[in-house]
Amino acid sequence: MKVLIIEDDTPYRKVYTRKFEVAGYTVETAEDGVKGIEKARSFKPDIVLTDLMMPQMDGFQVLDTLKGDSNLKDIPVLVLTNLSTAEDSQKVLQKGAVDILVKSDTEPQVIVERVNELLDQK
Amino acid sequence: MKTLKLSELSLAFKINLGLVAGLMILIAVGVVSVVNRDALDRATSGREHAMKAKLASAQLLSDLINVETGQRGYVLTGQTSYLQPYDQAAVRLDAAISNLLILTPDATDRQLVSDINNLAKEKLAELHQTITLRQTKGFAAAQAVVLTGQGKTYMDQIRAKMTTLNANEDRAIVNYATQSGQLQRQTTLVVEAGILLSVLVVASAIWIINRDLTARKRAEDELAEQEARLKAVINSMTEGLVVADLHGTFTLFNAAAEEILGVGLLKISPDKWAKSYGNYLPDKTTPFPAEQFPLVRALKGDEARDVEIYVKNKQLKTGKFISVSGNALRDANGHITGSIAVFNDITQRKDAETKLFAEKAKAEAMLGSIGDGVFALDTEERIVLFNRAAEQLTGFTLQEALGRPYTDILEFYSEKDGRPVDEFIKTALKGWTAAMTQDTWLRRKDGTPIPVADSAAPILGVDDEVQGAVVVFRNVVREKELERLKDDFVSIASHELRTPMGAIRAFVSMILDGDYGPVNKNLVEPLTDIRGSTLRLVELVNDMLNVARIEAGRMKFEVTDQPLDAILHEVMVVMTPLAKEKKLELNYLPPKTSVMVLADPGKVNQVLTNLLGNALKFTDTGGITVKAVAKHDFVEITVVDTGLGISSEDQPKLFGKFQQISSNQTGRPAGTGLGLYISREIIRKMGGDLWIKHSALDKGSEFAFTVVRAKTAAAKQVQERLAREASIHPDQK
Repeated sequence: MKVLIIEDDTPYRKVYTRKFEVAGYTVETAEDGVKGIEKARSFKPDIVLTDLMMPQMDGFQVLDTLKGDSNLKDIPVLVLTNLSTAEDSQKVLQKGAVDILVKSDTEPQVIVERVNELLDQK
Repeated sequence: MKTLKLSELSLAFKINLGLVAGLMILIAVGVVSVVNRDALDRATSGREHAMKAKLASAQLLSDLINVETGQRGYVLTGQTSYLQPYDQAAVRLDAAISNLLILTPDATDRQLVSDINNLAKEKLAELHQTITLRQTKGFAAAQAVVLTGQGKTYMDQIRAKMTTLNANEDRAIVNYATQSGQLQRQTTLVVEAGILLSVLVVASAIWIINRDLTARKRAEDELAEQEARLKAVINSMTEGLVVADLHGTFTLFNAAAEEILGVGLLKISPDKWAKSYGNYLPDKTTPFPAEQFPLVRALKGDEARDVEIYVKNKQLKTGKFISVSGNALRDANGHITGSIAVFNDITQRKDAETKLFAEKAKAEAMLGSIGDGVFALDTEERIVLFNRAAEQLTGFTLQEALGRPYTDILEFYSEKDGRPVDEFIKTALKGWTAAMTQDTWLRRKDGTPIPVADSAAPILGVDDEVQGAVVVFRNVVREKELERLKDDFVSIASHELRTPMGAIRAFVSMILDGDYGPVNKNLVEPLTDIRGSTLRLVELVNDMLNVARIEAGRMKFEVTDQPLDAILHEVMVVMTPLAKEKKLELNYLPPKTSVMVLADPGKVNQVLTNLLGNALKFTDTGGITVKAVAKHDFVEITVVDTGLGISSEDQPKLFGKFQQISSNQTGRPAGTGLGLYISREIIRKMGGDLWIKHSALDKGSEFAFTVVRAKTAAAKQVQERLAREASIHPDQK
């Protein structure tokens, strides 16, 4: 299973990459939204994990772009963020994300399990 | 010709009329009497004449008979003594005839008399003949003539004529008698009637005149009474009333005038009034010019109103201001005959006015110095007040604003949809204070928009009737920026803090999970501690974020009608495995019947989780029971544990910020000290409360919180409050 992690914070990028690799996934990363979209097109992941607060192109725009691209719109997008406003959650879900998790509140293991769940459903 | 009514005629005329009528009657009577008397005289004389005529004719006849007898005697005897009557007869005949003619005015009668004359003459002629024959020829010749009967014929004819004449005269006599009688009766009648009539006329005249006199007297009395009443009214007026004639001399000064001026009616001309009464212009020093007095002006037809005069003289203790109005007095033809002036003591009013001006100046000075824009409207929404700050904020000057409907120059509109915002002003004009809605912007004169905030309040009069509204507003550009910065700060701060912390946590977790390879046994404990500290840090940051949000009123509540059971059940599901871990019982007693509450399910979840979390933390043996009981307007949920309990000294500290209960903390995962504070604030925001029902050391604790039931009045209030708060702070998180 291929997972694309779009995250500008290096520690998170590293730790999640490690976690998913340990869990048996093929992992690709991107450090901003623009690169993320590029990677999505080339890597064709089964699921995209994206942060919200990123320079150049934020998570919202990533969502819009992914969902606006006929080739990419069916890939499930899981939003990982440290923002936790009700409005943001709503916005993200409205834009087509399957779920939103707060990084600082969530164990990495839980994230992996959630991804498993989402991909099993497919 | 207009018919005259008796009452409209003057008394003199009526008297004259009466007398004249009486006189006329007397004259009429006199004339009639005189006329009748003449007629009567004539009738009487006529009668006399007729009677005399009868006598005369009788006499004549007798004479003729005498003559005839004489003649016969002579004829028979031849003695001349028998001829005596005959000698006289001729003369007497003429005389008698003349007399008769005088006595018989009537033409027919005169004719008879004439005939009688002729016949008598013939008779005499015959007699003469006979006599002559006797004298000359003797008896036989004379006898032969007599025997012819001619003499007798003459006598018969004469007798016949006389009879007719006498009959005529008799008739005349009767006529005259009747006439006399009539005339006499007529005269009596006229006199009697005349007397009656004059009596009537005089009596009527007397009656009418008397009545008039009485009426006149009554009218005079009434007039006097009216005058007295008028005088009373004039003197009871509180306004001073003065009347002057064409020369400007006072003819009337009512009691109030004297009282107000301190001086009474003085017979002086207007140019002396200022000195004698102490009248000045409102500047209190210049003597009032005579020609400007309303009383004087009115004499020229210039009717002045509310002229102010300052009065100060020896009789008055203090000077006073009066307001005078003047009117001209005119006669029936419109010519001015005098003037009248009315005046009031307005000293108090003037004082009040001066005070008012001073107050107004003060208020204006205050308003000018206020930093916020203030403008006031009348009930027609026209601007009646516009302070300096308003001028600066809007770009319109006071002159441009005053008097105009505010909508002409001030455009308050909503940032969201551009629609005009005027509800708050309309509400104020209805009598209630209202705040501008959030996102109200104002377009300045040059077209630039500025964000504004504040409120409008009604201006109430003495009877609490709305007289207008006052609007206060300020440019909130900086405030908005500040808010945004605050929000941003909180979000950014929390986000920034969470990022590294989350990373640390993730790493430590993964190391401990063996994702980086087998862990050195010695490192397990310290790593676990690190993780614990990290988790605490994360919790702290979350709690601080919540506290910041709650305190700023920026926590978003989405309250809807929810089944309570479902919310609580969800928490139970999550907490049950944790309770099982510590080998504690966890019981849930739902309400007897399903109950709907007005709540934000996420927030209720959060609160119960917090309480149960605490219970689990501080309970080692026994169990925890969650019970929900429906009350009238709300549902009470209690969490009872058999844990450590909290001492009575410590109980007050429970809900404070960062308060940790000192005792019995060892070995227990430390909390942030914010949990209960946040939970209580959340519950209170939703219209309920959170408190400790009871607790005793080593016995356990019972916490309770309430949630309002759906569709209750309390629920409605909560919804309204939350909606109101949401409108003020739309960017809630």
